[in-house]
Amino acid sequence: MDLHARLERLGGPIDPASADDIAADLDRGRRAVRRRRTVQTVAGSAFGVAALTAAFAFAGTGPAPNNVPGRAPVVAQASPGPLTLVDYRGPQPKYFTIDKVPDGYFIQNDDEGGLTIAPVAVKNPSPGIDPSKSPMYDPLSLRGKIGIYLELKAYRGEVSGEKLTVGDYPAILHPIGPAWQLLLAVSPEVYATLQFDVPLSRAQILELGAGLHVHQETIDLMAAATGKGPNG
Amino acid sequence: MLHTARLLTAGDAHLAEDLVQTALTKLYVSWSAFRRADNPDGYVRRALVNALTDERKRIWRRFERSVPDLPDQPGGDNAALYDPELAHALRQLPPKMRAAVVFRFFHELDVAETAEALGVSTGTVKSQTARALDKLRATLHTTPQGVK
Repeated sequence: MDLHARLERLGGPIDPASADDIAADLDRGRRAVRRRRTVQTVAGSAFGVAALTAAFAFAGTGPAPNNVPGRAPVVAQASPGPLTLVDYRGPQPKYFTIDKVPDGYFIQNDDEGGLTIAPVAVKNPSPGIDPSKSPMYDPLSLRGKIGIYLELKAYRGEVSGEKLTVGDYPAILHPIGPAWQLLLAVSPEVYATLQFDVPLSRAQILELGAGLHVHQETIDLMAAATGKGPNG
Repeated sequence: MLHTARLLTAGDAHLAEDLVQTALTKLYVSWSAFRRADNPDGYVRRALVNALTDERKRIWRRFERSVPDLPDQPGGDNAALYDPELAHALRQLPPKMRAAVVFRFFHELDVAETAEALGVSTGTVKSQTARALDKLRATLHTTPQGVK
């Protein structure tokens, strides 16, 4: 069987939607719009204040990226205020070395997928906590946290954003949804991606990025996922 | 559109529906641009590919990790069940590489049309397609007919 026929089969049959399904979808959509308008009316002013606060938290110590004027990360979780960076004094992770973390944060997850750096408030969840319902307790969720992981450049394709040099690496800083990503080109094939969904300033993001050191064997392992070794 | 989305997601019927919904929403929001597009089909394909790549960038994305046992799969409408071997092979490809295969070998687009859909150069399409076929051959063990 040729590839075209196998792709055709993989796509499977498409069952047409019934009139009842369409009517139910429309009904759900209209209810969602009504709900959204109600929430916006009630919470609009409070949200505006929170967004402005977050904007100042980011823009306070440096200019916004040239190609994204006015964009700023919105803090996903309630935060007492801007964070400060401190020297990291805990045990170093397996695949990275880090110099700085926000004060009051710890390494919540450290495995081949990367690091999750989270507030210490979620360090020891009580037995009744369900991480699937409280993502701050889920070590694999990056909401309200800092995530660090390696990616193949080929996977990301072209990335637009502010071009920088961070530490020894060419880097790109760009907003992504409510957060920011700092992509460090740690090899010709591999990015170390730092994703920030916490209220750090631009200067703090760059300082934390400059303090990240990726072990060479980790980079080689990721590069090998292309099917080619680091030396081709 | 749903058929294409199922292929782009390597047979994940649920994610395919999400992609179609996201792409349709973006088309609706940009309806005037869509109507002015020289190539509406290309516009739709681009919206689907963007939805696929954006899916990886969601803030709530979780790290993927290897597990010893395959998780339970939903039955019925899981398109991967129609050809699990090919679905597995496609899943090993990065999204844009997978999209290049779908557009070149299922929709039979030429290199320029595929490049437009993916938002990359024609040279990138050629290299990505060649690498994709190498990977598919390696994963499928046997050379798929018609993939020379």
